[in-house]
Amino acid sequence: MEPRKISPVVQQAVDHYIDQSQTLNQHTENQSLQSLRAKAQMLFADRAFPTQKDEDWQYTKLRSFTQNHFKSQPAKHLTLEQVNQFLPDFPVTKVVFVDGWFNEALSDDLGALPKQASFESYADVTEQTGDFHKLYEHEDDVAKEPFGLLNSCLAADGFFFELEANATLETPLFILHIQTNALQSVQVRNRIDVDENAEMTIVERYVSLDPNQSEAAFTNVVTQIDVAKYARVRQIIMQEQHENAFYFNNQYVFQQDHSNFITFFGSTGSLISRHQNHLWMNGEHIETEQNSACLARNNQTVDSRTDTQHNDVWGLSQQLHKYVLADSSTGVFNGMIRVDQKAQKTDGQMDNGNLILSNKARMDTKPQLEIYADDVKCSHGSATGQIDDKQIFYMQARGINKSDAIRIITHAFLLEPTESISNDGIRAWVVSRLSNGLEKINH
Amino acid sequence: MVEAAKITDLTHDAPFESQYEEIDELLSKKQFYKEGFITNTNVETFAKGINEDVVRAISEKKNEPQWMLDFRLKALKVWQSMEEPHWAKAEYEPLDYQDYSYYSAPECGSCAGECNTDEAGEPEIDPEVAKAFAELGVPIEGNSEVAVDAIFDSISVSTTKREELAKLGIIFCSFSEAVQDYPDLVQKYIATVVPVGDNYFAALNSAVASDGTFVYVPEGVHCPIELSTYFRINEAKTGQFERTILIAEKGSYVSYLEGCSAPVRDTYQLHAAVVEVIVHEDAEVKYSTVQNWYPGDEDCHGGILNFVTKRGICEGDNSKLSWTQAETGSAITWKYPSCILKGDNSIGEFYSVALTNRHQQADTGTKMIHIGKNTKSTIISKGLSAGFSDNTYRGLVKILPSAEGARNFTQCDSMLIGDKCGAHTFPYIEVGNSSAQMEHEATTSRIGEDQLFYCQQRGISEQDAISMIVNGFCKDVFSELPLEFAQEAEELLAISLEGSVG
Repeated sequence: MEPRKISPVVQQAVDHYIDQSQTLNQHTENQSLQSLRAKAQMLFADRAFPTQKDEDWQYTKLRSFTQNHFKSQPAKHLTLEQVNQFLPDFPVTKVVFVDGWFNEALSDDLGALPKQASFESYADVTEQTGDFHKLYEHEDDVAKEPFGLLNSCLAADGFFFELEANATLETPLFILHIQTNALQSVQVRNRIDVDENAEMTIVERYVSLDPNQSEAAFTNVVTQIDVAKYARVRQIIMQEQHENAFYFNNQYVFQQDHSNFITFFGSTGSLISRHQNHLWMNGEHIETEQNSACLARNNQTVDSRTDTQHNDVWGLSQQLHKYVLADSSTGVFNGMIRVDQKAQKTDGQMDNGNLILSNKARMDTKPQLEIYADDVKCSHGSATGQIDDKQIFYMQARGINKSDAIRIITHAFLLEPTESISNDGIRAWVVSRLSNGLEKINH
Repeated sequence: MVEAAKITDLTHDAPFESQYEEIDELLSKKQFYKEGFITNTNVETFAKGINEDVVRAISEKKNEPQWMLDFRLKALKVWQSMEEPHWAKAEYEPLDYQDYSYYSAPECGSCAGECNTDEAGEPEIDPEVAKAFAELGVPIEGNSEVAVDAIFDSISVSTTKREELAKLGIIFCSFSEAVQDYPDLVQKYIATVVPVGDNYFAALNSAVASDGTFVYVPEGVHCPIELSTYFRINEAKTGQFERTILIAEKGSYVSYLEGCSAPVRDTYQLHAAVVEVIVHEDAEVKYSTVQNWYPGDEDCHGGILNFVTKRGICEGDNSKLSWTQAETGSAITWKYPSCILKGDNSIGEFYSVALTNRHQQADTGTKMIHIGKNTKSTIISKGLSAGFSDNTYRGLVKILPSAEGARNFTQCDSMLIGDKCGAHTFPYIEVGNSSAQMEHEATTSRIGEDQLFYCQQRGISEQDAISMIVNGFCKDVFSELPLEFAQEAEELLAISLEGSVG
């Protein structure tokens, strides 16, 4: 293949990030980590940022992103009160990151976690040459994603969390990312290991201190989650950064026999928000649920992707992705269910519903199936449309005025995926966050 | 062979997995391509290779006017600047385009331009070629209810019922003749729906287009009989590059069918066709295909590589274009009959049954581009995979902001027969208008043990039961085919599946 043409603007951005990665390498003594980053730099220099000609990026336009040169800056000082306004109303163990830097003082005392649970920051993990691989275990897969690769170049903080076998973490772990600085580059690398028969809930929230900030910011996360045999993991992610921010998240989830993993992604913020689940179902009788509720207005782009690999028998995967698009926003959904020849008796369901509220909004969706086993039940469905006039009429006939009727229908439509959240407190909180986003939409 | 299989069934208490072992065993012994004979006749075949001289020679052979030669040369330049696409879910070695011959014709009929058909009547058909078509059951004598254009390698050898049709003002002739006799119409419409540089194979086709069919239905005429074309590739190592143009003027109706086959060869043969359909206001076109190119040997070596660009435009308001296809042949199929719904209230339909067996690979589907207001499209795709094959549905539904009130319904069902094959669905849905409404659903299933058991319990053999279930699965599509074709398609399906079930 002939070398791709890179525009000067993109080339500048690429050089800028490679520079940053090299600076980062000068400040670490871990030689293995240095060579890992150097390798990532080479790949990144070669591939640069994807363009609309790349199959997976044709609907997500990066022009507004590459124009900025995001910097890695020290975190602003925040008071506890400033942080606590972002806490949910149910009990949690909070872990606070400010501008991508783990802040021990603002976080709860992690020493007080049950003894079966351990939390180590990125710095702790990478100090030990032997241990740092835990955060970089699947580099080949990560490098396939442009922003995963960039994260390999630039990641400078994050955490490693492990829950030992048979333990149950009663209080959800709440990972709070607060963005404060203009043009901040947040590069986080995490790993969560949930050992055999252990159970936990993770809640992640991405917010901006100033919701009206006009300068861009860039959050780029890579998380590996290992769900061991019989383990049960619930994950809720709320992305509510200010509307000039960028959000990219790649999650790599590895499941073993009889494990259960349920993840929910809610998105109301950021100019471009792209959330990707890469899921390997590497065992028998695995159950998985991936849901998302995405809301976009103005010029926002919200992109949610799932790649579900059924690699063994009796797997069950379910997905429901709902989008509400207002103004000139763009929604993108891309789902892939791949069923290996070995994965007989698979049940894979994927559903995507989109509500378009404005004539300038657009929705691009690509629900895919790739099936190599014959005794399977797989289906996908996708529907896009506007609110049915009959529904509005029905409500008006019962004395509900038109704008309320539209609001009620839109709410009900968007909130359907939250029904999979079994904890009442968490569900109520997610519903209130999404409702808050819906209030901002002009009907 | 079927008998033998049954005996083994009785002698050992086979677990149900062994059902597939029998399939494989049968597959390895059965040769079920019935159109695989070779016709020996004197032919004129160009030396292998493609370059400007070859393109000039083809044009000269066909006695073409300058504008057609210019069109070809321009296309050749475009083609040379493009790269062979490999994005389809089908694996094949890059082709050596210099290893194909780009023109081959039975000697006696190779005078499309020179024989003046009006005076001399129909040119004599080579008896060997006539025999071949007779064997294929293609009525080239004009004694059936269907008008036929029979194409043998690079040229059209016979077009029946022309006079009757001409009385109604309908033009039904080979593409080469149309270039001679109706240059204005051809120039007006060629490459308007599929531009020369649309894709690699369309460009190649434009450069070396062999023959094809030209249909023109004038305003307000309802074509009383089915028009059809039968394509036959005979010569080894030749490519067939048919170019078909179908124009339906305001308020007209036409139903067009095409069929195809090729002899058994041991090297890949290339078929890169371009079909353009133009449907004007209130007109309706029904385009049906039964594709039965030679799929190759057990490993699909020597089969036809079927890389086809078919596209129609619903130019006028209230027009309708309907594609129906039954795909059972070819080693690799790469085909997306599409509709551009430009006129308001226009309707596009796509009904497809694609069956792959052994190592066949099919990547097929459609594109529905909604531009006009209240445009509607329906996509029903049924994919069946057996043996070691891969069957992919790839489709695009694009609703532009102008397509107020557009409506799409898509249903893709796949059925797997055996556990070594694959069935894939890659739909692209792009919605740019809030009043548009689109639905997409896809399912994957297999023939259930209980369904088979139920039938067998009632005295229906396993083979018949499978055939019944498969036909039921495809019924939505077959019901769209014209009667004779529906029957042929059903039989083809049965033949292609023969041996793939115990």
